[in-house]
Amino acid sequence: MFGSQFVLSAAQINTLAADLAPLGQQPGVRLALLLDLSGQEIVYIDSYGGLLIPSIAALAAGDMMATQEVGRLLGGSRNCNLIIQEHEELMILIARLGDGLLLMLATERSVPLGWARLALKRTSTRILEVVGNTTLSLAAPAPAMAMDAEFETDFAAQLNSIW
Amino acid sequence: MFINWGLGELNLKIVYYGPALSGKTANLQYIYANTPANLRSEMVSLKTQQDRTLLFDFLQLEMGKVKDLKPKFKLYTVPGQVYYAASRRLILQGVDGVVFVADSQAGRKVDNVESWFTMEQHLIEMRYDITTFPIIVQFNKRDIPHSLPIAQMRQQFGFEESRRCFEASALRGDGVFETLKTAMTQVVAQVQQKI
Repeated sequence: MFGSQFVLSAAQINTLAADLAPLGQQPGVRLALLLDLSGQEIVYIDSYGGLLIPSIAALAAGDMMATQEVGRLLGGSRNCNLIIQEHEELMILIARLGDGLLLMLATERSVPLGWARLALKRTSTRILEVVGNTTLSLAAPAPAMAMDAEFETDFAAQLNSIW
Repeated sequence: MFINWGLGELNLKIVYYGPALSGKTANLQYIYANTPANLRSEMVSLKTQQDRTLLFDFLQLEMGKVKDLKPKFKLYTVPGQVYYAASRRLILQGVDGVVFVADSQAGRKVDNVESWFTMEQHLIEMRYDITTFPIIVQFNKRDIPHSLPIAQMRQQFGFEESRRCFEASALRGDGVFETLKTAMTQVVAQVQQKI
């Protein structure tokens, strides 16, 4: 079961962004998005700009979880590894990485499916080298003073200033 | 929880759980309508033709900068109908805190209690320690005539006196932000203990 603890250092984030970068250079790629199964976006390349990334991440995770459940109800007992959606104008692939990560690739229909699948596979391998293939855990230590005693007080004050 | 130390982002997930028609979606709709646009995402709702939640509602809230960190909260609702049990379990994946929305109407006692126990069951299956996990209780629909007295509501669940519960009318907005702010504060406190 995927736990709710995923912490990445700045160096790890930079490495992951660099891993995704080649996908963004391919003509016809609209979005490459690394997220976790709980719907948290981690890094992404938004080629056109302005996409609603948090909403897309939540829906992509929901899509994978729902598809997994359909498989289970049909008698399957293993993970769903890849979803391929063919829309009239675009193609969406969502691949599972390890226990708790997903990699989403959205392309124009003109992009060959074979390339997209291969690109996902290669990128997935590189990403798993960064974050590991096991259940995600507290991977990076917190910078000093990041959440010290004053944080809770300041946070409460911030909430009261908004609502 | 996902912490991005590179960007100083603290991404946390709160799920609104409860029986069908208890007001989970109404909570999110009120929050959406009464939060500055620059601090919230668009609200995503996956509904059936009968306007019931099919998979989830989703709303992201950004709190601005707090001591060099940017806390972001992803709020989800689960579908309340009994036959969507699988969906509810899926939405709880990776949750950092739960707001349990109970219906205060007298005839909803069985639904409230059943929903509470299935929530606990899901959390235990996911290896959460429910004795310390943030679960905030909201008694919704307090504006409806003949809603059950608070003492009886608490008795339904067998809550100890120490458990704080929030009275609300989500449609009018009463108690909505009080509940949300408490949930956020408890989730942040939990994170502080972990890191």
